[in-house]
Amino acid sequence: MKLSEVHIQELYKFTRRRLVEHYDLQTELVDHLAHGIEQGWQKNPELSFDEALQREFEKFGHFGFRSVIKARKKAMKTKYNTLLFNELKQWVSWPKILWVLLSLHSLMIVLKVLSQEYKWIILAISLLPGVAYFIYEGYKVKKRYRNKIGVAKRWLLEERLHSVQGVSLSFLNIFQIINWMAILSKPTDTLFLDLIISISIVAGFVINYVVIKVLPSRTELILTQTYPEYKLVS
Amino acid sequence: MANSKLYKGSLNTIILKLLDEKGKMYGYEITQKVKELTKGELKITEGALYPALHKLEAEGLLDVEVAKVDNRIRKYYKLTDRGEKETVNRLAELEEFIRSMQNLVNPNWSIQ
Repeated sequence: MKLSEVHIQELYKFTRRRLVEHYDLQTELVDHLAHGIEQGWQKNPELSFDEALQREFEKFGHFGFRSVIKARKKAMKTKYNTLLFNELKQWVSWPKILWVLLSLHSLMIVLKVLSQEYKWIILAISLLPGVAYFIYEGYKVKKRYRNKIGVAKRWLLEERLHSVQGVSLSFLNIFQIINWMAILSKPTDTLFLDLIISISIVAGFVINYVVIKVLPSRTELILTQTYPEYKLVS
Repeated sequence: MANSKLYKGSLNTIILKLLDEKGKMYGYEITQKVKELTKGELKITEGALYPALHKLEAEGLLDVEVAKVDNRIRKYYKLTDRGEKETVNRLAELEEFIRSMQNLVNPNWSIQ
């Protein structure tokens, strides 16, 4: 006996009730449960749908779907980190490295001409608009995804691509570095400190740009490449 | 899973080996195939199988494709080129491990 469309929808509801929020994982588990139920009916046709489902679910062990959800999230984090790493690699190779070196050089010149007494405070104030921009853009990206929840299917990697707030806020660490530099700086090691701070600022801008602007803008392409079922259902 | 502690470390290799032989398989099929091959001695639990499959996929050793079967979507796993090379390595490692263990517990026995 085969499961009907109504049964399949029941299985989707069942996975959602057990905290499987994302369509990609729901789909895989629904097929597994459905297959198990159909096999169970072959051996014991008297079983009701609910009984057969419960038997299959028990095979996932005491913690139910929890270990599967946890592992899936971890796997998608690895996938995301690979995407991020590949994108960042482009910024240390031709031609994008030209922009990085040019920015570093310009920053070094600016730091050199600023008076030692006020340069850290001037630098911190000049960075504020950039930080505010990334925080605002990060907020917009998150909001875009939040509006989708409950309306469209959710994909785990899509959620990861839009979880950018942490990164934009981590950019504030640059102010901490500037603070340390201001405390530690001595007239003798100015060049080294300028270099460290310039690298931190440029790296901060590049990482935030990739995480907040580049990767979310490629969501459709990334999801299509990651999930073969994406085009099938959207 | 019978003797779970002994089998646990080899689960990924078992999955890779099965996919190497069969080409592509879906989750439920893998559990049943292992059960069939080991005559029920080794039973891969669902709670262990999917985390292993997702990990191998994230590592780039497995690729996925989907097909509409009956009224639902089925996800098939297959080896990538890297996965094929890794299967050879892991099987060699496993054989070496079995050989070493055998030497420890029964020096007169050997595998081909």
